[in-house]
Amino acid sequence: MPWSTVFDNVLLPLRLARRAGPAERERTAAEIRSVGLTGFEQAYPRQLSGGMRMRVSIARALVTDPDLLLLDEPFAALDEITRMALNDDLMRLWDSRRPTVVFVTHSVFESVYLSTRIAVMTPRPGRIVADLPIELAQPRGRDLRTSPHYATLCATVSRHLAKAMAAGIR
Amino acid sequence: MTPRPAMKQTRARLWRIAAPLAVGGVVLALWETIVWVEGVPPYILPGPVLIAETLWIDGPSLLGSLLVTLRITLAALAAAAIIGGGIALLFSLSRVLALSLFPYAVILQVTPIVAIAPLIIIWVRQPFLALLVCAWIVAFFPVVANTTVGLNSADRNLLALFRLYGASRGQILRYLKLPTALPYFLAGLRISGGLALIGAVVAEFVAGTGGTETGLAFRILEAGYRLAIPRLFAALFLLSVTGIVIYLLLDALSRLLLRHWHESAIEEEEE
Repeated sequence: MPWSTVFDNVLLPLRLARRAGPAERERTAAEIRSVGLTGFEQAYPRQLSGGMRMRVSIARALVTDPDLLLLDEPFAALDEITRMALNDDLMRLWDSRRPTVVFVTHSVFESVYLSTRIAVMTPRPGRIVADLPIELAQPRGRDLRTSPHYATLCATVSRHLAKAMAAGIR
Repeated sequence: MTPRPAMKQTRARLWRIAAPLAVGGVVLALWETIVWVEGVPPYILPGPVLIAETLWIDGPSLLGSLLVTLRITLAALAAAAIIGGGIALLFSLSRVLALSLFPYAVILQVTPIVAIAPLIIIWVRQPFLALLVCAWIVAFFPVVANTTVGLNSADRNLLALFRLYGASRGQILRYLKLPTALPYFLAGLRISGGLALIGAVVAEFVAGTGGTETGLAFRILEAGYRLAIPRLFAALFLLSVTGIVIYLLLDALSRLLLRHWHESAIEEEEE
């Protein structure tokens, strides 16, 4: 919401649930800290970069401590550097509370880096044509991006994706 | 040497004030010269100097009349803001109400106020109230129309988010629709500010000597009958200054309320 501060934006789900007491405010502040936006609590969205706004959205989604998180191309509009940083932060946040995350992306590299399981879909109609387990150790760090094993997995997913796209076009 | 950005900005701001002032000065000088050279009599067209003198002499009594007109204008504007906003709110809450009543709001708006002012003055006995109603009829529509659009322009994604979190209708209104509508409401109010003044003047024209107190419009009428054209111009000048001041105040209010987030209120790109 462009008219509210970062703090009020993150507090929104709790406020809508009519739970906005001191405990919830404390929790909101903690959530803003956990996505690395300390000091920006009273900033307005237009003063933030695209990546920071996305962090606010994530904090808002996490503030209710959900068991399931649905993310539909959350980082699509961001540049590569910001995207990688947010990938790492998302992994860290996931690791600390382990919700189930359904993450839609158009990036093969992002999918392999983040997932434990990848479903490849065809365009129009959207059907799942491949279900690939990704058995990479947790926690995953920066080194993974350059490892040969990661490259092989990316190649496999790319192959399935190319097949799915071809099926969709026909 | 190229000017530094800060200097450039100061210069741009200076131009914004100096350029219109210069144009005004040239026009006034030209006006005075023509009146002087051609020997135009003051009861046809008085020169700016004579008007300024009249303004100085008649100032106190004109100011008293201005106060009367201003009271009507501000009361009508306040009523337009409150009742207009209320009507828009009702429209957004009930589609049936909006569909059935909006045409009548339009009818009220398009009917010339001069045509219905005599009726209102007959029906509403109290003169101040009668003039207030006339000015309000002219002024309320922009607020209703703009605010209605604003209340219906909530971001679809945000609306979906609110629904997802199980927000009640009241919560959606308070946390989403009202903030979204605020810039629209303020834009409507800025238009209404000028219209309220026009409405008050027109109503005074129609009312003639509406009661013991006489507004600025009646003074204009009176000056016209007496061929006291310099006084007419002086009253006219006061009227337009009042209009400008009302506009500037509403503009400042709008900037103040929207300064944190709305594009319209952001001066220049930071950094």
